[in-house]
Amino acid sequence: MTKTLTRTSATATALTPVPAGVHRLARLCRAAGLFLLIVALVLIAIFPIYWMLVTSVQPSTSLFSWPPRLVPSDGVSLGAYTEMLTSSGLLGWVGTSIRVSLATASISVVAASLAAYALSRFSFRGSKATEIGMLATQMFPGILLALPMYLVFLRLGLVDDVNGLTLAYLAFIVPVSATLLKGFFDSIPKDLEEASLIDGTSRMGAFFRVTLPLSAPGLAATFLFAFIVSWNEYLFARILVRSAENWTISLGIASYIGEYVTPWDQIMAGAVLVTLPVAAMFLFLQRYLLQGLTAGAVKG
Amino acid sequence: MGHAELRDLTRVFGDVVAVDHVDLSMADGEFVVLVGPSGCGKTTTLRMIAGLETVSSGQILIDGSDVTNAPPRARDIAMVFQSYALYPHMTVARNLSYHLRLRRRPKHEINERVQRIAAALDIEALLDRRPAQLSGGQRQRVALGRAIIREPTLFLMDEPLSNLDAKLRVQTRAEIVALQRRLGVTTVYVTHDQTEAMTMGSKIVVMKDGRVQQIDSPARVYSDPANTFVAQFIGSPAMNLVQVELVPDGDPVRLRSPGGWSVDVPEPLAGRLRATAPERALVMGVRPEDLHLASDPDSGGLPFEVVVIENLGHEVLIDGTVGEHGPRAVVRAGTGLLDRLRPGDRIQVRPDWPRVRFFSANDGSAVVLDQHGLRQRDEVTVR
Repeated sequence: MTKTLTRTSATATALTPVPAGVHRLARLCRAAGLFLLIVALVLIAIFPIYWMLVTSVQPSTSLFSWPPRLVPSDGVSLGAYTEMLTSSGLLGWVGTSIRVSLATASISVVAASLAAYALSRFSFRGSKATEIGMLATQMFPGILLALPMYLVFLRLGLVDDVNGLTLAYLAFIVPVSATLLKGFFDSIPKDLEEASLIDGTSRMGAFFRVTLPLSAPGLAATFLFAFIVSWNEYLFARILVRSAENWTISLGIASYIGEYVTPWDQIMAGAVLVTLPVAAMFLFLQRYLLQGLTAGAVKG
Repeated sequence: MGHAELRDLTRVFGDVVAVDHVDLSMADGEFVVLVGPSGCGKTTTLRMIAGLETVSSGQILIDGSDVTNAPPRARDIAMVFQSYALYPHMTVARNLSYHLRLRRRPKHEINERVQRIAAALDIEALLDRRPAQLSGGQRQRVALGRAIIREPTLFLMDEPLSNLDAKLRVQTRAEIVALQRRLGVTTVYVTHDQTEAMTMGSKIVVMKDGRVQQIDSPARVYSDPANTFVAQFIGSPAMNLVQVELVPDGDPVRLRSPGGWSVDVPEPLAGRLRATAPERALVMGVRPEDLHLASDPDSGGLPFEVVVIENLGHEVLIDGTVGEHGPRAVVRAGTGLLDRLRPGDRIQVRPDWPRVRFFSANDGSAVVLDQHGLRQRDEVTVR
């Protein structure tokens, strides 16, 4: 769309001289159009979050009124929040989720960075196949693996075990994290490690003193990725965990969906509460993450 | 303290022999330049000396001890990379002190040495900056500083000047040479630039396709190239090469060209050429400055047809062909000729015979002329 516009105006310029004011107007229109498009996209992205907030402070009944009320009209009530915080098991679920997610994220960053380094720096028999194989694991739909995995975990006695759940998450997340990190390591010049080798470190020394500090954005991004994936995960938690005391938040909140009654205000209040830790972590890590997103884009 | 030796060094990558049986010895304090076109194995050789590349066969000795399989940190070497390879997450001061910190030297000693090196390289004002905040020339100095602060046995430099602009390159070239002389550390320097090789090295190693073509002083490499490759690679413009046929039994001894012209060879060269009986195909090599324009057309020179005249200001390069449709050749002359010569002119050029070199037409190797006549140059290993 924009491209066509530019081309037309360029042709026009080439054919007849156009007063400068017309150009400025065209530029202004283009900027305004772009701005409106961005606003629309942002609205689409933000609306579910807004709707979550609105729903959490209104009784469930007003959710289904027609026309829908975009602004709470019956007054704002924080009852659902107090209900979730006091009489539900929410805090316990959050605790389990934090435990699982932190363990998954930490272990996967360590394991994935070592794997990624090996794949990035050494060519060994089967290195290419390993790389492809790791990506291939991601092509299976989770549900396909759910049953076999349940059987394996049952044999191992890891069903209904928080550590078992962590292990299951690691199995999925480490390959993706390693692929992610390999990209980061690839963008770090080999020369730097070689300089470090000559300056007096071993391979591992060079990795810890040069490569890792330089890939901090990549490590942060990988950590966050692993954390969020395990924080949000539902399917495997549903299958591998039974007892309520081992529930993660996704299981806990989903348990509110009843056959006859679903207290949407409480579910949404719970959702808001569990979004907060992730948002906080995002704010904390965003400095690194932004660097991570642009890494390799500009030769440095 | 700092002599090194490569013995029969070979490196194979798959089917490619990157470095092919290289023998080289470096005396203490020597400035050895490895030069050759890209892909000739010079960087691989340097990386093997550094320990960054494994050795397929052969030996590397530094100060008499075999380091062929030692890790880089055990070799007491310092290296300047083409990309400088400064640690981006460290300040200049920390880049300089990295090795000393790894060796756990006392703090006051580290500070003192960093200050001294920074003062010597004029980078004191940059100590707190990061590499990204430095210009190319400044980065280059920091990279040099990081190498010399270690006081190593051996300096290795991998095209350290190739990322600098032309003016800075000439300046830094002289600085590196002066620095190396002052420190007296044995240096191995890799470059593809023959000017750098000629001006910096005390010993030049010319390589091609993984093989050493010639190891000699710059002057010898220039005046007595071991083969036609070296003759054309070293010197700018390159040595002129002309195919000739030796007619030794006539009087005078003549060189006949397939292009139809011939030239008489003066004594004592003629005598030496005559000493070999059979007629044989040779390549005659003459440097552009050793060809002189002959004023007299019958003075016994080579026929030369002017194609282009390039005025460089202080001298003139006359580009042309030897004989009609013959091989290209370049003559270096004074600017006084400019108004006398025109493209298309047919003139005579007289070689400075004592400086003319001959190569075998078969394999291009240099032919040494002595009292016993023609013989293949044998002190150079050409496998």
